[in-house]
Amino acid sequence: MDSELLGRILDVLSRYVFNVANLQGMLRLSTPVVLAGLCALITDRAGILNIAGEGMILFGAWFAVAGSFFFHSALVGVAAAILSGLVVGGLFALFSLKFRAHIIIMGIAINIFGNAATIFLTRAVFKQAGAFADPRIVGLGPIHIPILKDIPILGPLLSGYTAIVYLSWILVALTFVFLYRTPWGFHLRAVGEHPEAAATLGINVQAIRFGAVMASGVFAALAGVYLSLGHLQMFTEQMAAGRGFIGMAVNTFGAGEPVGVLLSSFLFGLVDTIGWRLQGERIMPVYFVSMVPYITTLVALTIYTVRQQRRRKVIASR
Amino acid sequence: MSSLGGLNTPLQPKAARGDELRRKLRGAFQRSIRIILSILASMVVGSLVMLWYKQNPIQVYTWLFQGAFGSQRAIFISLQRATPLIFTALASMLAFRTGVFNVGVEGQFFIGAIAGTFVGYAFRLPAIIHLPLVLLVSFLAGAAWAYIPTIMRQKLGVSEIITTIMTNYIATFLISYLTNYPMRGTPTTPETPFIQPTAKLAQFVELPGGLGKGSQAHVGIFIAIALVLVLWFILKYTTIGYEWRMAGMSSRFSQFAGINMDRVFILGMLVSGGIAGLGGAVEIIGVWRKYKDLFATGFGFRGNLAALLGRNTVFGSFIAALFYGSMEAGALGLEWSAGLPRQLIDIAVGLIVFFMAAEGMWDFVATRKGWSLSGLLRRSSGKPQAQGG
Amino acid sequence: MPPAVEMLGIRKTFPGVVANKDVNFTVEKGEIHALVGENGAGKTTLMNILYGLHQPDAGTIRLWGKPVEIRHNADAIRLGIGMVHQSFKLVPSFTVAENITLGAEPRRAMGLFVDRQAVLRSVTELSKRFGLQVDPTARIRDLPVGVQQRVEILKTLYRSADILILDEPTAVLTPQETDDLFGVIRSLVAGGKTVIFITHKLREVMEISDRVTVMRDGQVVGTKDTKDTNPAELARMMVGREVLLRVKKGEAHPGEPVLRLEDLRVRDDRNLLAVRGISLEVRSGEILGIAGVEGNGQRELVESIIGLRIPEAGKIILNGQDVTTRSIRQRREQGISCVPEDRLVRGLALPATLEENLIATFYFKPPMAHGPLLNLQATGDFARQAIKTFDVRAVSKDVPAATLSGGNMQKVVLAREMSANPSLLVVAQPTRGLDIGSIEFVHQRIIDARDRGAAVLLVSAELEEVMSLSDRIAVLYEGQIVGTIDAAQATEQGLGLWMAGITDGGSVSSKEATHV
Repeated sequence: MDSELLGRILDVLSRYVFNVANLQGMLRLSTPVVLAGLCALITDRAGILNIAGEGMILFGAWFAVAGSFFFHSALVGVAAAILSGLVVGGLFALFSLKFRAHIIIMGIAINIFGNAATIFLTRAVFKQAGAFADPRIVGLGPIHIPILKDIPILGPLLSGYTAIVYLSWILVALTFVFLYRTPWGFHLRAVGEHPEAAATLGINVQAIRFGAVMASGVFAALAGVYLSLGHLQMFTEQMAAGRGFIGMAVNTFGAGEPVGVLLSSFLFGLVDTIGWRLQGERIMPVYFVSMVPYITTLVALTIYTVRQQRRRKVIASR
Repeated sequence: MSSLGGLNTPLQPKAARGDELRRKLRGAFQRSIRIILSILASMVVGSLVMLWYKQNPIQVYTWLFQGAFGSQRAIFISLQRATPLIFTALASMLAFRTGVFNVGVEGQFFIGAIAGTFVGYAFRLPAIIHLPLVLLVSFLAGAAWAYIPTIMRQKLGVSEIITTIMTNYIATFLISYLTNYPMRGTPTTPETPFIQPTAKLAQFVELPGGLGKGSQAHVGIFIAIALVLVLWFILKYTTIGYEWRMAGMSSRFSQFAGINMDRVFILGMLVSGGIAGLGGAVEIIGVWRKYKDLFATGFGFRGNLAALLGRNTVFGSFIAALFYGSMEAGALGLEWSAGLPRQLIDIAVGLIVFFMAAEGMWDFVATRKGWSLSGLLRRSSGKPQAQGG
Repeated sequence: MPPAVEMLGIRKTFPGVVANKDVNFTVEKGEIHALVGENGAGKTTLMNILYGLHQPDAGTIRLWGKPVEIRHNADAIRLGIGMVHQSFKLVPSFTVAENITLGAEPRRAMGLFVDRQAVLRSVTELSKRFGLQVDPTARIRDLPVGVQQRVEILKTLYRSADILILDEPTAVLTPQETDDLFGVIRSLVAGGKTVIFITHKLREVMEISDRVTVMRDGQVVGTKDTKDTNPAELARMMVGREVLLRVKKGEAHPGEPVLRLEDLRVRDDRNLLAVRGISLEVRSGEILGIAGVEGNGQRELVESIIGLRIPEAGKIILNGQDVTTRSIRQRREQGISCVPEDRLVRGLALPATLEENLIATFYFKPPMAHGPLLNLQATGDFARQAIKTFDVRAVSKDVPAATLSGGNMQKVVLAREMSANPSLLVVAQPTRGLDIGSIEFVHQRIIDARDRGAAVLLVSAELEEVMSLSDRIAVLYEGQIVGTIDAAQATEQGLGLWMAGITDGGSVSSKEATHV
């Protein structure tokens, strides 16, 4: 390989990939995706098709802002969001698991509902249309980790993010521990893979599913918290922007594993950041940059299923 | 013994036929009761919200009704709001009937709209060619936009729910790009130039007789109604309609009978996307006459809801779309009179669907029927998925 | 010493069928008791009742002499009953040890965490104590079926089961694995356990059991000490019934071969070879009956002929044309019709009307359709006519198929498939779950088809049906044809023995490795 080409490659890599600013962007932008991915993961592992992530994120985002605004405390906002996640998740579980509503229709309904309700509430409660921003909203400030922050390179890379970012990593670890080290995690995985096996051993399948859906509500709500309190302090209509579904894709691409979800989300975050960088450098118009997460999802799903195709059995249909 | 000698036994005698009729009526009766109860439950929740707004629910519902049907102007506004929803409801219904969850109707609608707008402003043609051309191109554009998720589903087995939603977002940004750069008609705002007069759909106010004053209702409603009849005809009287129906009711049976499932699904999705695209173009050339970026959202999702409300039948979806449109018209008035945001309608309709879909809720006492949207089969993805209790 | 298990006067009805009719079943402590019968005899239902998966409509159960109530299978487990089902209930991604301890995991740190060391330890100790070799850290999905079964047995032992029920345990095992299993059973019994062994394989009954109970049509035919009986007697008890129905059947006039299978090999859903080299011929105007207990490859055979499954190797030749890889519609156009085993899923679209179900295989051809347009007059007339001709008891052609009784549903399927005037008619388990009247009707129709020149391939687990309808009979066992005979010369006992895998001169099982 001649040295000029090598130099060019290294230059591109260092500008776009191995670049502290970009990696910081990656870690930030990936956070809501990580949480949305965990939302999809926990229900997926329990054998539930959960497409309501979008709506649950919106509820979380809104209640976070509301809680923070009225009680002048970001912590209350987070608590309010978590509560909303439990309630929405609980209703979702109730209607689809107990009342046997078609789970996809329920998911669609919650998403539409989440959008409509949050817009409605913004107008009703805050008397604003479109977006609600107010200096009285207390956001989550950046956390500077002592000692770590002074290490060159690693310092700025790992310190200074808002609490939610760190929380998302901690939750990935906790989810791993839960799934693979606790009895209920075992039970949940059994319910997802072979509910009969679980049922004949005395495991309460319904209770596990309920719990999984409510947990997914909490994860989604936290994604919403990041969006409305963690980055800017505002609520915007439709601010989830499809992350609920990107979370599903990230879960698929990450093979249903917490670490896989984390890494896939990083990939998304990186691609997203690079896109913004390209837009900043006027290489790509902003609208195409905005398309990046969605095109990435399509591509990722395609790659993933093509690889799975090998094992598929073929029925004569031509 | 029995049947060997019974080769020419006639169908059941009259008494049994009467029984069957009674059973059918009871079934329809039960379903109507359920719809009415769902609407009532939704109204109760709505009333609570209104009370919170310190409004009298009865007054508000009256205003709502007046805003929807209370005057000639109101009725025309209802028609106008309903027109795009009829298209998206039909598009959703067709896909759902076939067993595919096309939640990409939103994106297909707008892609059809922008494509139709382009043909509308970029060419000068006699009206007799121009208008049909606009409609044709928009149909094809919507169909093309539906093609990607369809192919991914049929050939790769990727769930159409995620892929269609992704195409919605991509469509939004693509259109934003187009209206900001190549298709931009004015220097200050992201919108296309006005379409040629030959591509317009007349609004009722513009016609002699001056009906519908104060509204932007347009003759596109007739196209919508024509589409309802065409779809009804296709589903009932054509081979492809038969295949669509059977595929939705039992894909495994249809496969066994020799029906080409790939062709059925792909065609179904393409037509669904095409109808959505058609609806988008009709909305532009009838109401706005140019495409302004982000002029509205939600046509697709409301269409999904309307189809579900209409229990996935052609006329049901049509009625539901009319209902939804008139509710929107009423809600517009509400914003003025009571300050209630119009999203209340989306919430209310969402709740109705919620309650209707919750079979178990209504089955507390009665015998179970299990007819929940029978025929909507999901694509199996290998892992067992929970569908209900 | 009171018997380990006493089931007295057990009665269980499912919609449309009496699965257990006044059954008395006793198992002594420490014995290996075989429970045999054909499919549908009621053996699995009886054991499911013992295991708490079903509640009996009537009857009592006593364990060790004391009456017990078994409401959930958790009760059964608590009382020391363990069951290994035909289809394993194991979580594929879990390890052996994790599966065994699922639901009862040893814990540490105040019950928050699974004590993974203890899990391994207890399983290793268990495995050693009972002599069941397993690698506790292996993942289930990587293990061969024989080992998976051992895991299922260990699961019951982990929960201190004293009474083990094994449901058709050798159905999925190679001969070698079967021998290993028998060794395990013997050592378990030597250790004080009691084993109930459900099977239809008479050879195994003779080899392993102490006593055997034969069930037929939901009732117990008799219980014998194994050393006092022989396969022939057991076969007679299993299949012999009053011959109720003999269809009026004329002479067959077979013509040219219509269907030819050449060394057909087909894999099942678990990727095991279910059809392992079948060659046969069916001529026009004859009925070839394939007898055999279900699960020996019938389903995969039928599916490969109709086109729902592509064979791994071999050829399917219809009227001289190779249709091995053709689409279903192409095969139907070539003259194949099929009455499928799975009436409710494949044979009919339950939410659809009778008319819609009836036209499903030729709605696209004149006179039903002209081009893309359906001729509703023609389809309606056809439907009405078909309903009349096939004596379908329904109010009208517009009712959903789901409202029909089983017999009438099958008539609809027959009407549709036969109206195509096929040159090859494949019928699988055609009278399952039907009443006597419908059975007669279906049989007559099959004969009619033959008399009109069709080649008929009849696949049925009902031996009596095969014998009364077929002109020639072939017996399917473990994916191969173990014998073919003219119907006139066939006897129930002879066929029964073939069905159980016993041909003259010892076991016929010459299985190649079924795991790839």
